[in-house]
Amino acid sequence: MSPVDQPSGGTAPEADEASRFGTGAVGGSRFEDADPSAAVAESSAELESFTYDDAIVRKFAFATIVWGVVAMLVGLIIALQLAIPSLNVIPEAAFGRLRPLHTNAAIFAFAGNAVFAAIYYSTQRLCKARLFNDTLSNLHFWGWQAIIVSAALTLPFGITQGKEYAELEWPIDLAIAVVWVGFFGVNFFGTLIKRRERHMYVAIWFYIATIVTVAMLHVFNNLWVPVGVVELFRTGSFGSADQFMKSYPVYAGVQDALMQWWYGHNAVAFFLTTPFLGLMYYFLPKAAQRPVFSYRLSIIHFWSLVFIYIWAGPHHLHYTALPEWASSLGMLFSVMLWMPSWGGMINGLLTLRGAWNKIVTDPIIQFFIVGVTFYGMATFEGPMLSIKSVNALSHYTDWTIAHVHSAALGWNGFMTFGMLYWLFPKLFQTKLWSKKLCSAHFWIGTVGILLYIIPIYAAGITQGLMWRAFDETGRLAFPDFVETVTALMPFYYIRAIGGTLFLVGTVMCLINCVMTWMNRPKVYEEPVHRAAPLSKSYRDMSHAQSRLEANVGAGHAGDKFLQGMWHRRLERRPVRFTVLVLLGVSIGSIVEAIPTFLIKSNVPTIASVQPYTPLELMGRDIYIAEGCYNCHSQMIRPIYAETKRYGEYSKPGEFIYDRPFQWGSRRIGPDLAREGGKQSHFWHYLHFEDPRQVVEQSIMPKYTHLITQDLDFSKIPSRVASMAMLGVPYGEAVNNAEEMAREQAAQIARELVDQGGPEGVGEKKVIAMIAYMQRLGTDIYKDAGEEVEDAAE
Amino acid sequence: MRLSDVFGHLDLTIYPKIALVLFVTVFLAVVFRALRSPKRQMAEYSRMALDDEASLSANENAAGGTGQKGGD
Repeated sequence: MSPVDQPSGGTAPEADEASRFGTGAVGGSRFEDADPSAAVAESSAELESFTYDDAIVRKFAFATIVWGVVAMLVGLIIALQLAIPSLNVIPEAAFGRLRPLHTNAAIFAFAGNAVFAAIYYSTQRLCKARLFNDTLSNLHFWGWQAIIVSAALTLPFGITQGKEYAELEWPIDLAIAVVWVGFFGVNFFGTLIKRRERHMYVAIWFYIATIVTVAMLHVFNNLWVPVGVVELFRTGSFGSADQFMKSYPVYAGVQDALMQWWYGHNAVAFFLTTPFLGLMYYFLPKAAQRPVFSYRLSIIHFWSLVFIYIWAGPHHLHYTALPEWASSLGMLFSVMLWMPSWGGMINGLLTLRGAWNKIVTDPIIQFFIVGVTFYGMATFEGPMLSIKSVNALSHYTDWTIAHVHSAALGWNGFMTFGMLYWLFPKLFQTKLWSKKLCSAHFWIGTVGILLYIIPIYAAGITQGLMWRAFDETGRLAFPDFVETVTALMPFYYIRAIGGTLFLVGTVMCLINCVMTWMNRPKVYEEPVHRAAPLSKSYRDMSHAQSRLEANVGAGHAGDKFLQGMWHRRLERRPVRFTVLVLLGVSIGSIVEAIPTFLIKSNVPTIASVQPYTPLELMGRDIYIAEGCYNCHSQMIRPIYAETKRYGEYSKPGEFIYDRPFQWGSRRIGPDLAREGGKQSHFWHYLHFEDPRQVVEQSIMPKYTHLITQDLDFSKIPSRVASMAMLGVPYGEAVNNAEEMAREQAAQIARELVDQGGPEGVGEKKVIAMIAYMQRLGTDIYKDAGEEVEDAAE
Repeated sequence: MRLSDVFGHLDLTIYPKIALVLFVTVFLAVVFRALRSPKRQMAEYSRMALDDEASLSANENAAGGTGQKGGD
């Protein structure tokens, strides 16, 4: 608890001073819709003294900038790896493994710590209360940093769930739940409960939405069966580290895709948008020294955003095997999302009314204004990309990458930097070390963003157009996929320059932060504030009075409703407010999820589709561990250019054993949904050994370690048993998994030799990968009877 | 009869329409709330982020600073 958080002995005469806490504030109750007698009782309460915990804000601010440098450095490395494939030096630092590290570091380490710094600084002041519990604050800080470090220690080693932005494996997922809900959530809501300001400012609403929705998303998208636990029951030991950490989701195929993009889209909404809007509503007025432009607009902004955002996830799955109605629903709500988003942007920009001159002179305002402008651009572009006809061109291309980075660098990045530069002097109780360096950061960062996104927009549109281009004879104009990759190289180089500039700007911020910190006083001043506690006997005016003289009961009720008292009361009640937010975000989730899970027709059964063999399953796990989904999709859309290039379009029933689904979101390499049988085993062997042996201009990393590393067959039975637990009909294979895998590996090894390949690789990882590659997308061409026959054998 | 059979007989094409009606209802309620609020009250709320600054200056060292070691 707070070291100084007790009655100071001040009573009624000091209520005058209390009223200076805020215009119109009388001991925490502000306005005329309070019961007058209750308000008087509240104002005469003893004043309490308290201090704010800025030490925890300092920690999160430092962590933000340090992890920001790390995240952007990794981003630069992977940008260079695309342009210069030889930079994929070791397996642990290859593109497929580093890209998830980059996204996780940028989202959860850089943006996450920034969000915590913003929330902890502003909530204390808006609530006139120290954070609920200092120990919880510190557990939150160190727990979150431990999670980030554990991500850095697992993702490069191929320990991943293989679901974008939800890659972290189950033990880390559990830690996230504990830290987010148990430490952060309890600390935040505890602070709200003991606040001394009755009205919750709009920034607090956005924080509430963030905390409850992220918790919901995280829990429901991370339901799994841990292989390590199954291994424990089977063998009495957890097995190796990667075996212990491995898990399979309870969802499969289409359902897993829907859950994942419900999560993925709303992680953007509730981790990268709502908390930053809260940040905007608090720190932008601070920096501009102007009240927020329109509080009315902020109310509409908040509820519209919270209600609409959650429905929009399926727009990530247009033209896939997702049911059409779910896809249309996602598109509809995505387009509607444009309006509240722009309402928020306008509210942010117009907060500067009367202070436009600061745009020229104040780099902090510059960061905020450019940040809010990028928010507007990104939230216009997002709905546009969700329109099916636009999405047909943009999906799987670098257009999405450009869109994401305009938001991440422009909106999240610049809002964070604006906040940090505003906070540094206050947190370190000294002047900012260099305003010039801050200004230089702004300009170098802005140029960096533009140099990043403009070429990548061009790259994305180029890709999309090349994929669908036909020549005059009706054949694909660029049948060789690699042509559509090499055409992007100039753009990739320019993007790397842009990324370098942005990183340099971030390092400037780090330097400014450290130098300002070094000039701090020997002892931080810790002002003691005083405010009256909220009175327990406080009552709102119990009911609005109907203003109608002659009317029926319904008319009176309607008039009372229209007076809006119900919502003003709600804004003072954190628990009810939270429940309503949860209800708002749950409605969309339930409407979308339940039918998809319960209706058989959403995933029509294809009789010839059978579970992966034990060896193929192991190969699939290696595919996931290597992060192949970061470059290859496994989803052929029902678009002529795609079926022409890759083959028959993908059907929902083909994915019922895919845990997790591997549809991907990007094609730096070709789609692999129908890869099975297209090439020989030997071709795949050579391709893994060095892709340029078979595709001269390929930018894929070498996977020679798959050829040199042994395949641990003993890991297979627990994986098959875990799948069986999830309902995959493995039958006898559960008992014979290892033998079956060895048998199939030996057969593939023999065929490889027959095709001219080397001997002695029958027990290497590459064999499992070849087995998986050769299985992909082949089941629908099989006769169902043939499969039954195979199974009987 | 299983739950999946019940859901299987639902006409799912109506879902986007239901969603639209739900949204419009919530939206109108929120717009009513926002527009019907007293102007002075809205002005007060909109200043809250600035007012906490005022509270700082009004109360600094009111009861003597406790001090916090400058090392973190």
